[in-house]
Amino acid sequence: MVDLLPLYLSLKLAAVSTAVLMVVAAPISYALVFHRIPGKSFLEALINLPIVLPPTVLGFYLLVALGPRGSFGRAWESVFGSPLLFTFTGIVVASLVYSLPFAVAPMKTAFCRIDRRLVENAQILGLNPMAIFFRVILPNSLAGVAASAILVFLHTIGEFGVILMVGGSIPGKTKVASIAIFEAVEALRYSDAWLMSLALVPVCYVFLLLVNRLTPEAQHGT
Amino acid sequence: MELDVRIKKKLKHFDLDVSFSCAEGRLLAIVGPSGAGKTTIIRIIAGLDRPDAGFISCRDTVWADMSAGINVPTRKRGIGYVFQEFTLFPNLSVYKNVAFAARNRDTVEYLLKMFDIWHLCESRPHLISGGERQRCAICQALARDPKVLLMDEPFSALDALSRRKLREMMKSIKSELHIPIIHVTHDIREALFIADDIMPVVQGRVEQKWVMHFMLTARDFDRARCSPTRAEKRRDEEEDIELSIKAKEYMK
Repeated sequence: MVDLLPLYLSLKLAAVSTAVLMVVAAPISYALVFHRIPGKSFLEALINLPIVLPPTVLGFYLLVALGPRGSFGRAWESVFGSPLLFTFTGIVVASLVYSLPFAVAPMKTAFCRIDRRLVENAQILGLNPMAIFFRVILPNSLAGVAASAILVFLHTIGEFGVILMVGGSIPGKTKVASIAIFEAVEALRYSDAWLMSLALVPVCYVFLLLVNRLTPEAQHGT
Repeated sequence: MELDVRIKKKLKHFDLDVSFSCAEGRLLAIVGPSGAGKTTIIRIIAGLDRPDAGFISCRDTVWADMSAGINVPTRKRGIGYVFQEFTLFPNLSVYKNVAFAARNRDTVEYLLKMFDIWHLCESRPHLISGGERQRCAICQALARDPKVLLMDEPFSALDALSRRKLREMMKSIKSELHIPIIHVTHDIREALFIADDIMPVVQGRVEQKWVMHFMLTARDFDRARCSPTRAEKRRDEEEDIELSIKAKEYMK
């Protein structure tokens, strides 16, 4: 009998990371597109760093930062009384950092496509920046926001290196599907690896199809 | 309840330096060639651009006084603005676009009926014609009971028939609105047709002597670019004679 707990953990991690990242990435993308921020290019490069860094390198830095000697890990422990490393919360934090560029990029593209005059018109009609975001920008970039959510979800399901570094492989806590597949192969349990891999393929494929349908290029048939 | 404007701004190729006022119920047309600074003037009045120096007030409320460091944000000025191209919210129906910032529902219904687009209430902006969209944009601007109405070449993207219809509509309702209306256009014929006052702007400055020049250039340009039917030709000639008389009177 195949252990379905890693699959459940992967989906749970992806769902939590997606929900949190949508809330975090929206104001970041909004600020990057519609506001003049000093050092904007430096900030963008920093957000995009996880795309180019090897996951193990990023995982190592996160291991240090979230550990009991790291400033973030220490602050967390003093506030919540429990450590971050090798916990589900720890891998959520790690995956937020790792997937942030995948949330920001499609949202930024969607916000860039909004005609500036719509925003100016909303200002003229008396809306404050918060109302402009919720009443004008968000409703007119729903496809981009949905594409961003799906990309983050899929990317989180596929995470391996960063999760392994920060969370290890604790069954029921941090042992997600990708790690379980790796361990099954190492233990020569190929049938388990096959079944778990097969379960992930249709999920990812359907979500990718959705992304393709939602991106403007696909809508224009180019 | 006048709109008073005295503004200076350094632009890329020249310095904008204009002073004017517009009383309630009057329509002031700012006329000039492309790149003369017309749009910048109304963007500054709206608070979308910042002047380098100057003063703007409306109904005894100061909107901008650069020497005192006052520059009221756009959203607090209570203006109506009709853009050159369509800026309706594509995710909302015609009714919801007009009601977006309206003071009350009765106003929305009244405006939609007055501009003859009540029957399009449920339609989305991309499903209606350019003229209908621009009428909807005017309704949206008026629905919040603005203190000033600013219009940036609102008819320039429309076909000749829609343009004529909207010009006539604006001409007939302007006195009912009881607010100053600033209308930016490069078309002197349009200005002479609907405006109470004309302010020609060239290279960021008011140049009254250019009215007649604009008139002649516009007429020649119109004739060169289209091949009108005999009836249209006759109507244009009649309009030309009428507008020439008006322009000459204006120059006196």
